[in-house]
Amino acid sequence: MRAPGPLLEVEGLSKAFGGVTASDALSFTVMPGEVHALIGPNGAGKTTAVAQIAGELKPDDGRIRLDGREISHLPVHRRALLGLGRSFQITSVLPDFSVLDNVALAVQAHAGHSFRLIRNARRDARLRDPARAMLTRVGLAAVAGRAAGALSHGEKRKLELAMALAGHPRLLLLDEPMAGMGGEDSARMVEVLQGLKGTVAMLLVEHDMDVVFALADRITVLDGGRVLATGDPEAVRADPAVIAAYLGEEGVACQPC
Amino acid sequence: MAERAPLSPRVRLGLHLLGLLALALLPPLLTLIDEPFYVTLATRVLILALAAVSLDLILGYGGMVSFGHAAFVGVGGYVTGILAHHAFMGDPLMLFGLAVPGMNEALIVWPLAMAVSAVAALLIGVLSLRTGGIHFIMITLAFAQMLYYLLVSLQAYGGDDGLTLWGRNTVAGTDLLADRETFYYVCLGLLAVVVLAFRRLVDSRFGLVLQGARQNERRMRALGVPVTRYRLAAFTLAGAVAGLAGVLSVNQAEFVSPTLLHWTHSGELLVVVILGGMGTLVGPVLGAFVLMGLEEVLAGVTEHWRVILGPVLVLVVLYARAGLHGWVIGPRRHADADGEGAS
Repeated sequence: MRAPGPLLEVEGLSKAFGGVTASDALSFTVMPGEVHALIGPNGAGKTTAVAQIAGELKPDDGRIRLDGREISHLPVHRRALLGLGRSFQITSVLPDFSVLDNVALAVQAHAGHSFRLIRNARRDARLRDPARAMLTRVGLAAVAGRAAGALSHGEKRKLELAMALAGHPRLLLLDEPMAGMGGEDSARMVEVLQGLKGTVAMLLVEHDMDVVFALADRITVLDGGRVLATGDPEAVRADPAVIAAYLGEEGVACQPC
Repeated sequence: MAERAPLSPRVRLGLHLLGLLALALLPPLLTLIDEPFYVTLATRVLILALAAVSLDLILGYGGMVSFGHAAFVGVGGYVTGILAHHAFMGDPLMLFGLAVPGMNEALIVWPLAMAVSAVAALLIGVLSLRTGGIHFIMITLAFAQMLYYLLVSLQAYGGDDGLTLWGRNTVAGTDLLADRETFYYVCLGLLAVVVLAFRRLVDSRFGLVLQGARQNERRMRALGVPVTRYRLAAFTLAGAVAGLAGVLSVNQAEFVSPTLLHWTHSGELLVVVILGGMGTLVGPVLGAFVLMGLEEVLAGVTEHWRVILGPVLVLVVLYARAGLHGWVIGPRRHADADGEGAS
C-alpha cells in the first residue's frame, strides 16, 4: 500500500493565451475524499485550470499527477477512465437521448470498449440497472424516459452529476455546478454533494460563497492565474490578501456607511 | 408542422415490412402491366438506396457529413470492372509485383471489392476525421476528387470513357445475375440485409457511442470514450457497403466510368439521405425512390427538370425536417426508460 498521498497534484502549471497568462506556475493538491474549492474573481484562471486537469487544454509547462501517476500528456478520455469525472460550466448532456440513455452511456464508457455491435444496449441490464440507481440517487428517476434536451436547467445539472458519478470517479471536477440554478435547486444540489462528501474527492469551482463555505474542506484562491492562498475555509476567510483581492469587494459593500 | 404522437415501434416495423413486401411484389406487378423496363429502373433505385443507407449510418447517426461518399462506390465499382477487364483480356493484373488473375466470380470479387473500399475508407477516414464540421466536408470532397482524377488518368482502363464489361459477374460459375428479375431480387435482398443489420447496429453499444458523439463530442470524451476510433470504424463500414453498391451498380450497367466517383454523385447521395430522412435508414430508400421517380417524371415533362427538383428539395429541407420518412410516418418515439423505443 502506498502512503496516502494527495489524490491530485498540480505542480507549476502554466498556460498563456497570447499575452494573457491564464495559469501562472499554479500548484495545489486535492487529498483523497476532500472537497477542495477553487475560487477567485472572474478571469482568475479557474476554468482554464480545470480544462488543463481534464486534458482539454495542453499546459505550456507543469505537471499533473493523479494518485501519483503523471497524466499531463494523456488525452481526455484516458484521464476520464483513470477516474476524473466531470461536470461542465455550461451544461453538457446528450440532448436527443433519454435521461436514462445518458447515464447508461456513462456506465458503458467505463465498462470496457464499445465495439459490441449486435446486442441492444438499451436492453442491457448491466448498463440500465446501475444507471437507474444513479438517477434515483440524484432525484431524476421520475424523468428517466424524457429527452435530456427537454429537461429544466436544474435537472440537466443533476443529470450531468449523475453521468459523472456513473463512472465511479475518484475525483469530480465540478465547474460551477450551481450556475444558473434557482435557490431551491441549488440547495438540493448542495445536499446531494454533501451526501457525496467523503466517498469521492471533488475539485469545486464555484462563485456562490455560501455554497463554498458549506461544502469545502479546503479552499484555494486564484487571482491572475496565481495561487493567492490555500487553506481551510476559516484561514482563507481571514487571509488579508484574499480579503483585499476578492472577498474584499463584498466586505467593503457590507460595511455600514 | 404540428407535432404528432409517435407511432408505436410495432406499427413502424409493420409499415417498414409492408414497404419491403411492396418492393418484393414490384417485378411481377410491372410484368403484369407490361412495363418490364421499370424493373431495371427500380434496380438502379435499390442500388442508389444501398449507397445512401451506408451514408446515412455515418451522416444520420454519426454526424459525419461526408461529401465524398461516391468515392467508395467508385472503388467497389472499379475493382469489379478492372478484374472483369483482365478476365476478358486474359492477362493478369500486376499489382506491386503480384500477379492477380482477372475474374468474374461474384463470390470472390464482391467481398474483395468491399474490402478494398473499406481500406480506402479507412485511409481517407484516418486523415479526414482529424477535422470536423466544414473542414470534414471539404476534405472528404477533396479525397474523392483526387480518386476521380486518378481514375480519369488511367488510360489502361479507359480513362475518361471508362470500361465496358462483357457481362455481369457469375455466381458459382452460373450466369444467375443476367436475368433482370433475379438481379433485382439480389439487390433487394442485400439492401434488406444491410438495413436490418444497421438497425441492430445503431441500437448496440457501438451505435449509441456513435450517436452520442454526434450529439456532444466533448461530453463523450469527458465520459472516457475515445470518440475518433468509433467514428473511424463506422466510416470504414459505410465505405465497405458503399463499395458493394458500386459492385452492384457496375453489374447492373455492365459499365464503369469515373462518373461513378464524381462529386455530383456524392451530392446526390447526400440529397437522397436528407430528402428521405437522416438517421432513419429506411428513409434513404424512400428518398432514392422519390428522387429517381421525380427525375423520371420531370425529365419527361421538361429538359429543365432540375429547375423544378431544386425547389422541391428546398421545401423538404424547410418544412419536413425529418425528411419524407418523418413526414409520412412521424417521428420515432423517444427511447423511454424500458428501452421500448428501440425500433
